[in-house]
Amino acid sequence: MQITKATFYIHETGSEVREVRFSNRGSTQKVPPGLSGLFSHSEGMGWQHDRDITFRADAPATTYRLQLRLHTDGELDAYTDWSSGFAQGELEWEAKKVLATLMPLVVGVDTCDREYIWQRLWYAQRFFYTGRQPLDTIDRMLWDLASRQARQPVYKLLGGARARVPAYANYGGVTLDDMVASAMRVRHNGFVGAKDHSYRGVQGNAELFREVRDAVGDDFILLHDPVESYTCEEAIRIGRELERLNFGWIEEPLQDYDILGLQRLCAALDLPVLALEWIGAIGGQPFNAAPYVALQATDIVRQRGIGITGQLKVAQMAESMGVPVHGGDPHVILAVHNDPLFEAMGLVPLDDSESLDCRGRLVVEDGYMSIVHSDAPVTEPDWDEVERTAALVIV
Amino acid sequence: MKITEVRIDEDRLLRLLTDGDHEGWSAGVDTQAQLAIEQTYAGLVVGQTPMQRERIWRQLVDAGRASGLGPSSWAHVDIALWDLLGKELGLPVFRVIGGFRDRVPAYLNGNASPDAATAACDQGYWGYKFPARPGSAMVSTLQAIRAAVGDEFRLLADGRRQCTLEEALALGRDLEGVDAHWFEEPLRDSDLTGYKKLSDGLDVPVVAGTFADHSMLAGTQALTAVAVDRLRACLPRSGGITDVLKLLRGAEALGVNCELEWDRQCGPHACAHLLGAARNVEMFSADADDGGDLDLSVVDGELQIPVEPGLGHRFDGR
Repeated sequence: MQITKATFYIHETGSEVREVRFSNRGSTQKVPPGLSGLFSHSEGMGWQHDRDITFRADAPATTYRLQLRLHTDGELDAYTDWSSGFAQGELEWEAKKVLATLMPLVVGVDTCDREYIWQRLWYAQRFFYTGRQPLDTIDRMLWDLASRQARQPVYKLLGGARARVPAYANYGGVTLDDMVASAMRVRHNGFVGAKDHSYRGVQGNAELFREVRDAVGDDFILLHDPVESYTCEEAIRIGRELERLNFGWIEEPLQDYDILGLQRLCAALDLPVLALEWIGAIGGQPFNAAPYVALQATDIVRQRGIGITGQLKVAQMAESMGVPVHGGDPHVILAVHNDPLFEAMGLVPLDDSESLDCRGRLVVEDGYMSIVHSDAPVTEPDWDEVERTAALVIV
Repeated sequence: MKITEVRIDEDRLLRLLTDGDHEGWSAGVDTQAQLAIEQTYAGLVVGQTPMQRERIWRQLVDAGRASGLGPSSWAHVDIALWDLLGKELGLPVFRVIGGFRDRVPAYLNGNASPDAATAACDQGYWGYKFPARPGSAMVSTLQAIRAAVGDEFRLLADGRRQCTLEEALALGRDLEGVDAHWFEEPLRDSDLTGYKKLSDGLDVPVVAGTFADHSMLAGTQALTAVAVDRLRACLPRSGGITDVLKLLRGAEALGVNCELEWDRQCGPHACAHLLGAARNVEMFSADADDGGDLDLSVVDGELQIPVEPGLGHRFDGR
């Protein structure tokens, strides 16, 4: 089955008053600056004083959605939402740029030749400076098409290693009491563990974590994510405290660029070090992640592969080198063995009233993530109707 | 659809029988693997579906370890699961993984003779691989072969694990003298220190990795030690499609090729589909009779990846 043609549709989606808002409480709980000197505030890079900055438009503006459809010579087509915005003309010319530069690399290729398309668009990132979004989106479209054709969820097409994965959730708050109460709520919701994003420095964080461990008890996973706010020396000091408190890992303790610091930290600590979220966000995985593993500059790889195909590459690279990964698409997580915990954004209970299809739906409850599905086909868009109602059709 | 029975026919074909329309096959099961399948793996697989392929693979690995068995023992079961999955989805295995190409350049295997190398070149093959032995006689043979095939044709030397490090270095320099394309497995298996010195010293790429422990971890560790220039894996000795796919991805992420070889009993099908799905393999390893007995065709020096559902095996009456 071949991709025969690409079409973009622009749809009007309603109207909205545009607004940009930034608000930040002043420092309710100042902590001394760490050696890094980066963070002097309990909420990170906040200001010393209250700030509230708002820009708001006078009137509502029409919103638009740009949709990509890859026609095939089979029964099903691939489709996805590409982007959205307030200016139809901008979306139109974005679509034309993609049609001119990227679609010639995709049209005419077999819909199952995902590796060929992934490799071509990988290099297109460089030649056209596309960033990661086009490859990410197109690869996911093709996996979605494969899923609808086979009437199986993507994670089963990828190998279906597990039916469910233990889940943890994040906790936070301004004061220590807030933080402890928040961690207890996570535990109460059935999660197997909780992760902070706390920038209180070594002393402040150590004090916080002792209280949190006291409150949640011993049989609960605690994870620390300081978001690159330590120096290597500080990370070793907090790492020892985390080891005493039986933490599961320390996440992004240093800048991802600090390869030598990460090597030193990994060598020093028994506690696993998890890195590569930031450097992975730029792109480059699995190619820039593998040398970190080889140089022992991270114990766990933060999953930032591009598309389902790229994420599977990252997971398999890590597996072939004997290390775990963390994060990424739930389908990929369920398909591999070496991604031990799911980071939940909260509970996602199973809603019995909603009908299921082969794509499946994410469920997070009772401390586990799973994807529930049926073998029912996905209802396809009525393309004649789409053509008729679109604000603009771009071919 | 569930697997109902695991059978090994007299002609060494492993068959996963199901309650559905299809069977999963892997050819050339030797007596050792047969014993392992019957005693250790068959019970694991019955009742499962190929939609849990990765879960089953992990069970195979764990059960194998418990019985002291390596990747070659479960490889056929994994290969047959992929065959079954492809048939079930109506897709060739390389497109179940995600297709990269439907034809792959092939090199021909043969002896160290200028005539045979010239014939391979004339038939359109992309390269010619022959055994290379240490010693002064080899130099003139190498020069004669190079003179016969011209400057462009790829010459691959197979060291057959027969060299000392000194001999391998000397032979490697001779190979560089005739612009050889790669130098394969001159040292004893698993001699990582030797391979490190050799690949550091030589410009001609050193290709090795079908070591005694053929697992993917042994392979990637050879790469992270920068002990080889290209990795090498063999189906089914290095495991099934799942094992070797992981190895290919690990090597790809490290910017390295993993060249594939296949066992003559098992046949080239599993290898062919991995070649169709991965970027970081250069060529298919062909024998002169590949077009005949093996149902796979090499046309103008390129292997055509089978596009029938599954692996594309054909066996009369089954």
